[in-house]
Amino acid sequence: MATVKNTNLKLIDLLGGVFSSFSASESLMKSITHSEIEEIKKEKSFVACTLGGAASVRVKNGRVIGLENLTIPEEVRHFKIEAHGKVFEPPRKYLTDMVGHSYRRWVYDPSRLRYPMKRVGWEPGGKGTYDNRGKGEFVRMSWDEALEQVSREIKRVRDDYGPSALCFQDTFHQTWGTIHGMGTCYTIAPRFFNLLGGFTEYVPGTCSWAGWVTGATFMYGYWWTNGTSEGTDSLADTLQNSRMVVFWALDATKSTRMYIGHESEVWRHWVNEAGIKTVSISPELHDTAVTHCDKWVAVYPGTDAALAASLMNVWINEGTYDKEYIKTHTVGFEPLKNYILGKDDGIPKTPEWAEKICGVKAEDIYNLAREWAAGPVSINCHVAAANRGWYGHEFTRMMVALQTLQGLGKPGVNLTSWGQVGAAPFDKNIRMPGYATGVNPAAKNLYSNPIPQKIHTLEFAEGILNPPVKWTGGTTGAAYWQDESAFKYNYPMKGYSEIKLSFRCGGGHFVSYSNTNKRAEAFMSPKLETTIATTLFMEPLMNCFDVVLPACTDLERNDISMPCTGGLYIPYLGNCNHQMSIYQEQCVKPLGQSMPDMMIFYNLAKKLGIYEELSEGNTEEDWIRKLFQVSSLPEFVSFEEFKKKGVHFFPVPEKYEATPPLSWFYKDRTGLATPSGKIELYSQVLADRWGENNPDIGPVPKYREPQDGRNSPLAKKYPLVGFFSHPKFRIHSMMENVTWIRDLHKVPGDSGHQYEPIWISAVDAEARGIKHGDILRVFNDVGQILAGAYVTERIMPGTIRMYYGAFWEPEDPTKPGSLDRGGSANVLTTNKPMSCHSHLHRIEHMMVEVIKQEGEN
Amino acid sequence: MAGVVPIVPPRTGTMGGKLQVETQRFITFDELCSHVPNIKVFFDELDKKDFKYLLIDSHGRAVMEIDIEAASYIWQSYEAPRGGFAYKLDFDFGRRLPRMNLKSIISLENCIINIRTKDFPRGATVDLIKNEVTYVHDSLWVLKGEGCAKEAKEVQRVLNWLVNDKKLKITAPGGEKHYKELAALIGGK
Repeated sequence: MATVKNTNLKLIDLLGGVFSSFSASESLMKSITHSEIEEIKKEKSFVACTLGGAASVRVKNGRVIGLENLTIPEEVRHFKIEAHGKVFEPPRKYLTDMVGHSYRRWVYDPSRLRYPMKRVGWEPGGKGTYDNRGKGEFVRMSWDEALEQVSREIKRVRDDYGPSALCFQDTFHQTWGTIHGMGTCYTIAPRFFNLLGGFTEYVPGTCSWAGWVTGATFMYGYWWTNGTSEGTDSLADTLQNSRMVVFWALDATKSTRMYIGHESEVWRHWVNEAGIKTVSISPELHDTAVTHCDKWVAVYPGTDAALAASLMNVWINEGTYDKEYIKTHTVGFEPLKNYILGKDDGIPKTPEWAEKICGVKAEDIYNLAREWAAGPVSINCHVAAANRGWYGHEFTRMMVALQTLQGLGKPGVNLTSWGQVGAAPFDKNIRMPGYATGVNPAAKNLYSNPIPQKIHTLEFAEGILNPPVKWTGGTTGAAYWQDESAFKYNYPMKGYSEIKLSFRCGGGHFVSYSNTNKRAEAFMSPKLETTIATTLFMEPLMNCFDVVLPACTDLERNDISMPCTGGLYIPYLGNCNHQMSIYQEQCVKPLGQSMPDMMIFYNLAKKLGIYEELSEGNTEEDWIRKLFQVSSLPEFVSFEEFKKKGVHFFPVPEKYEATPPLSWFYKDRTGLATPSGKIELYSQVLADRWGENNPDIGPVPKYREPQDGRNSPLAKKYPLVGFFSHPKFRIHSMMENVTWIRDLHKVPGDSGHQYEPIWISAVDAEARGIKHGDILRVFNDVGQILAGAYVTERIMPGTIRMYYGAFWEPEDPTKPGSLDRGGSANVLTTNKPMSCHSHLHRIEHMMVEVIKQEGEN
Repeated sequence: MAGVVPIVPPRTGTMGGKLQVETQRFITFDELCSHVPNIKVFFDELDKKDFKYLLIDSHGRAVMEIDIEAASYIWQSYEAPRGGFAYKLDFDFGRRLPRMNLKSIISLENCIINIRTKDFPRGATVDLIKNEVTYVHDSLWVLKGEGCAKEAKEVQRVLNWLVNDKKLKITAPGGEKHYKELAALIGGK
């Protein structure tokens, strides 16, 4: 049997040639009738919901031939916002982004996994060899063989070690859907494992909202939305009432695209058209700043809280904060004031003090503070990079404190992030379950996991390699509450097994979380007797698995969803210009032998004797119909009509009543999910837990100097501050394999290798003899990667910027710390938490050095 | 109907206090240790003998207590499937999960553990409710070579304790016969 070796993208391209004989169109042409062939030849149009938003898909000859922006019919009543003598009205088409449009290439990417494969040397029963894990040597299996061996292996591990030896890990945004893709991980897979007796829960934490979860929640609640406050109607509120918009540590044009495409980009253009002032605060002059902002305030990474403290210092000294609001809506102002004025530590947090820390001139800080105090300001700052660095919780608490001093909830004073936490008017009575709802609301039995043992993502590698491990807190979203961050966990728990079998859905895991090398080392360890993954692509991290099962894309199966609605922590909240539900009709047949995610679990369930309980007698179509029934759709359209049209647009209510963010709180003065019901500038919960003098956290938000930062001894060895933002050209690592997108941003080497770009200032480049396009080695004590130099004046000297999510392509995957040619920024990040209080990823603010890599091209 | 005082049901309101519910559920290792003394003793003895073990399954009826601070409720009557009225009470706990704890275990259906030896994750499987050894590792009757003899002795040491000291019955298919044969062969009891 032929052995397939998957070492890098170039080889994957070669394999694409080999695999092309299995391409969809050719396999489809076999054993079908003449009339079916004639049908296939016709061009058809489908409505799809991609990771980049809704789109219209054109199909001919059984292949996707194009994706276009979805047209919104004239008869659909949509919103209009009147402000500054203008009427703002969205375009009548869905603004799908490059992610959505590249589906045409993505679906047929040469790296698609077309049939099940197993690693050479892997044997069921833990009897095989492990030394080639990571090398990508695979042999093809039939589905029958794969399902038989995987199900027997799951049963063996469960019977030998108990269900706690099974660990299921969810997808990293593999495909869009409620019952497949991301949906499978919430609606099908947990029920599958619970029917087997449960599993060790993998606690993913969050790589996007860390500081918000563990910081802002202690001031105003909102843990169920990961610490981001409501954003409903913030668009109209801002356009009509705000004098200024501040984009703080947020490249909104780039970061808010996830799931929705460019839907919110037009809103920022409206801000400009309305004549509202705009400021960007960031170490880089990013796309949002270039396109939309009047002023760039360049701040060193990790020092945002100092800048915020100095703004408050000006307001308090000049009496330009909302004193009445502080009295009626908050508790604990005096301790905050004492910190800001330096009454407790002798250091007034003046602009002059801040200038030395964050690199912003004191004069600029005074000007910004006075401009800010002159009128309502909206901050766009959620998903901001600064919340993921050292003490990211202090950044988020400072953002809440800033707006609190100016009357958060008053007209025009809001805290938002258009596109991620909503803004546009929509029908708030519409219900639509999504993948993050966490359960299948249409299922009769939900089967909660009985196994109390958990493993936290930050501790996963150490937990596998060197157990036991212990940690405090670290859960996010709906499972989180202020109490949870004090819960103590350990792994393995007495009476329960260490993890022996890891079952993963989808890719992205190694490169989206910190310390890629350590994570890979754990996955390659024989202590994991078997590792199984369902995946779309043979991306490099799949080399670490024993059995890989081919899932299919959104366009190759049916599903039901609403763009940008994950449910629960990703509620709709007006994230798009038009609210719609989509019947995600299968456009083309699954490529090769790939199959829908749910069907993989159904087939395994048949082998394990739990099919009836798992399916509850439901086919894919049945689940879609039942999810339709539990949504608001039946109030508007029949299932048959919905299916036929593919989409239902929900009109904006004729008499629309806006509910600007926290306007209710401004009116009621209480009702927040904090112990006092008010904004807590001093948190008694944190005081009781950590005391007043803990170096990491305290009851009052403070600027805390990053450990291992630019003023630490480590900076002598690694003098550049690296910040690794959400990617512009990917969703985590999804789309990294698409050549159309790679060609847009990668730095091409003479060898043909495409290097991940690294932004470096002209000053730092000159000091190191680096020119634009040079290949650099970026390194620190954690790891080393190669990257292509993008020399620019759009970034502060002393800092470098990369996007995380590039594929991990180590020179020798079996050797820990091997040079990564793919340029995965998380090779450089530590798996230590952001503070003693916040057991979540610290993906930003790593100190690094860069040098020209001689001999590399 | 003389003597019956009509009651006006409390249709909506808030409810506080401790609510006890009886339920069928998985019983965790910690709960077994804290609520079932003889099983705790068994685990302690395994620890003393340096036998490793894993909880495989444990189900039973239990009483749980839900500590409700102030949950809003709705009392509802609805038409029963075959006519007449039926009644239900819905609680809304809001976004914060109420505190819950296990008050007592009424009965245990099973309590299955795997006892490990140095080399086998599953030397023997025991159901502590039925007092049975339901699985014994193959090493006892595929004894080949010096290494296997060592492994078999490990398993036999566990079995000796289970059968002779704890008085468990071997119900694994063929287990009793092979246990006796092996005991004679490698010199155990």
